[in-house]
Amino acid sequence: MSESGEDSPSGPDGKDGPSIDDPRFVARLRRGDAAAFARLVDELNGRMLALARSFCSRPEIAQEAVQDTWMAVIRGLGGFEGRAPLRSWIFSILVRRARTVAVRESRHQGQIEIDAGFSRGMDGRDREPGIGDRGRWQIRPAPWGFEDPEAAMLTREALGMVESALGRLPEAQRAAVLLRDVEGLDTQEACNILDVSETNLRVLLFRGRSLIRRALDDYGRSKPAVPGRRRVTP
Amino acid sequence: MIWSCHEITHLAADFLERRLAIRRRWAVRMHLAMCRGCRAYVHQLRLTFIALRALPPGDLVPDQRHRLLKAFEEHYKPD
Repeated sequence: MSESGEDSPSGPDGKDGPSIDDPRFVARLRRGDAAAFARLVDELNGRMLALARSFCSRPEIAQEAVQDTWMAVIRGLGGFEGRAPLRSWIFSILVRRARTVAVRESRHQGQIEIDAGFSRGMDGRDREPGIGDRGRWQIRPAPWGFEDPEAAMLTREALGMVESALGRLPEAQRAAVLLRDVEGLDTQEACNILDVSETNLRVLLFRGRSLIRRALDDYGRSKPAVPGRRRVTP
Repeated sequence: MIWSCHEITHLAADFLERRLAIRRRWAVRMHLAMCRGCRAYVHQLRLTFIALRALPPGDLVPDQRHRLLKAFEEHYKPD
């Protein structure tokens, strides 16, 4: 997460060179470096499509929003001032486009309004299943039994579960989790892109993360328990 | 300051991202030292973050990729 500093845009270069949010990468794009643009497309297109699907129910409409966004990015790079990270700028263009095409589509189909739950009554009083009336665990989360928990999270099996759980989240929760946890944008950037308050974002994230943790729960519990201390600090 | 397990579940993400002020942070730590359920919960949330951050970017249809690259090159083609 960006607050911890581990994804600092000007941090050390990865195997593909500077991060796409690094000003040096942006400079390459602005010079017309096709290899840099290819990398940008490879890194972001799938995520953009997933985010667009949060606003557009039909895949081809989401695809159209992504395509429009890329064209706007190509045209707009010259004027991109770098005040926000590149990916944040691209996602904000995408969300505007996706909302526009979704509204157009819904009018076409005779529906009136689209609000994928971004502003529905949210009071932050959501309770994790297992928490009793007095605010304590009645049914405690069962420990997961991985021998090497971090490595277990990177297996195809675990990632597949997370991906499918993400796909089942309500749209607004999915958009919040994608921007904040998958892309690693900070709270303010995610709020700006989705046009929600910090409080609403918190609730969307709480609900979304909760469902994804629970999706991993069956997997984790199916492994034999390994005794020892579990690390809880970051 | 004593937090309930319910409150810990709501503070857990900020705790993991080091976004809590120091006193709150210590209050969470104290709770975790005493509560097995919350320890498991926070640990699992930390692992959930690791998995989310590691999701692959997804595939792109080659034809579509080609078209985008062409559009980029044409835009930057020297006149």
